[in-house]
Amino acid sequence: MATSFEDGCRLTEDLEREILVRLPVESSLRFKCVCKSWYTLINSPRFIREYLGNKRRPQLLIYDECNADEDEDDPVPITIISEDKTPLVAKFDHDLQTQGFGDLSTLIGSVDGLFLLQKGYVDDVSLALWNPATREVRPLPAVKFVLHPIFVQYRGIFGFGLDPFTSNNYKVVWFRIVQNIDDEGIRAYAAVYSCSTDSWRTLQPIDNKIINSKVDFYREDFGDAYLNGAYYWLLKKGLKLSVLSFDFGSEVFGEIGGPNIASSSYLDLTSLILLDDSIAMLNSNADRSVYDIWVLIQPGAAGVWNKLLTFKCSYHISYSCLCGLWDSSTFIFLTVDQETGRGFQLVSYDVRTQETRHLGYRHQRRRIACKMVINESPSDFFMDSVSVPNGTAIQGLTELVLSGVYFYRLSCFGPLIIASPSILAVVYSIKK
Amino acid sequence: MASTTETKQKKMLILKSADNDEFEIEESVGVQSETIKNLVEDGFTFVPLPNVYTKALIKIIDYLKKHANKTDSNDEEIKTFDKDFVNTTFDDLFELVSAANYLHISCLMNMLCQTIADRIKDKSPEAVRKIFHINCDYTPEEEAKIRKANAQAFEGQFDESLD
Repeated sequence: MATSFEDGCRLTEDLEREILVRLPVESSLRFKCVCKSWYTLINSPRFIREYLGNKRRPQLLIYDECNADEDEDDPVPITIISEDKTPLVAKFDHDLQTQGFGDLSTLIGSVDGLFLLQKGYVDDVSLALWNPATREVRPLPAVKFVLHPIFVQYRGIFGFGLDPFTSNNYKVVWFRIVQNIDDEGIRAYAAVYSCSTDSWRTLQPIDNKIINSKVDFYREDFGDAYLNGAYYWLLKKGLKLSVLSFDFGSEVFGEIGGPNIASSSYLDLTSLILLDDSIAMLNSNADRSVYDIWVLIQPGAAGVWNKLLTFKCSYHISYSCLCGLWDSSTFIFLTVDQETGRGFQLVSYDVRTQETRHLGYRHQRRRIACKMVINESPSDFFMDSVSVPNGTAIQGLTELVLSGVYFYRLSCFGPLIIASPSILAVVYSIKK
Repeated sequence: MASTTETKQKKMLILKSADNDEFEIEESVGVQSETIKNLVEDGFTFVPLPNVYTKALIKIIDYLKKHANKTDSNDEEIKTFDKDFVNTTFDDLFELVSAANYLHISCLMNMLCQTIADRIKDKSPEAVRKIFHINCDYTPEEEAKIRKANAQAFEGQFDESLD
């Protein structure tokens, strides 16, 4: 007996979705042009939610820190590295240039495969959200911080994530620490951008409990992470570590006490990482040959941390810099190029087997910046950039626009995040 | 199920396909399907499957029998079986995935959907339309716009074959 499919019948939409959510991101983008119903399906919030829930191995995005070594003239093109593919140097730089972000100062993320781009510093900052998978760049409106002329900015940090309470709403937080040039007193200001309103709201000044006059600033980057509706930055207060948090739902800053890392350890060699959907700290000894991982068990002012494991690195990846994690036991390091003795190469290191693997990427620069790309998203981040032919020609699109392009999701994050050499880090004390 | 077994004799079920063929299988094999399990729990021993044709049902019963006997030692054997199982035409895979979906056999659903996704991922949109029996409802201008908006996904050569 002939079966229905041999007669040319189509699968049900549910089954088509079950298949399409399992595609790599390039394929799902390409198949948007198969037919109108697939276009609507692939852009729908439900599809994106399921797509992101289907965990894929993260990728590593390498970019240029424009402030790293201005005298070096060998630019670092934006490159995406997967474990199993050759490094992809796509036309990301060109995309960003055409959107006015060619000379970006830093980027943070990823959250659902999206990044926050930053250009310029202090008061002359431009921001945009960027999806490298679809190559969309969404510039954010300018934020109007009205600072009294006697204040100068010491440091600004950014966070980016999803509001867990209002669905489909990405938010960006900009936290600024300013100093009064008259009495040298420190104040903190913050502004929050919300995608749902496409506007900024200033939270100023921040409650004095969050910050006091004695603030230590460090230029090194200690790492930051987004997890389940909150952003986390590592802080160093004297010889103690702590974590500054910002909840995208309540828009409140908080502080979590850090682990008791032995005072013999170098706190400068500590980074905040995301490990298997937990906030964690990675701390190494002076020559970076032995690492400890502490996992946050219970947040709160005291903060309960558990020392998860200690691992040793072989000689040739000691003295290198952690860029990210493929998974909870495979770390990616930027290490000195053994062959040429100058420049860097990327290696992955399996903590359990102690195997090192070269990722096939090297560069002459002394420093490059890396971010993990977790959960690439095929979603058109902002619909109005996709000129849909003839308005209503695509069935279901109106509904899609109304329901918002910004899907939401509470967890399901792939293992990891961590930022190594980039980003502006802030270290300061918080008055209890 | 074991608690209701009164004798040592194996409990049997009869499955009836959409083309009215009947198959007798052990209850323990059948209950890997959530749909069958629910019916068995309601006391049914005769299970009509109006959405599953004989051709697909024979293959699915094979699959269920193989996977019911899963042990630590026959892991490789089952892997080989699964590989052969999905080595068929797209139309057959669609028939199987529809049946697996109706029968709620989640491990089979996963395997079939992933197989289909892996086999189409490098194909051109034109080939995918033919494989999925989809008529393109874009005008050439509309399609060109979508291609332009996702230009990076159209770089390179794609597989035009239909198998």
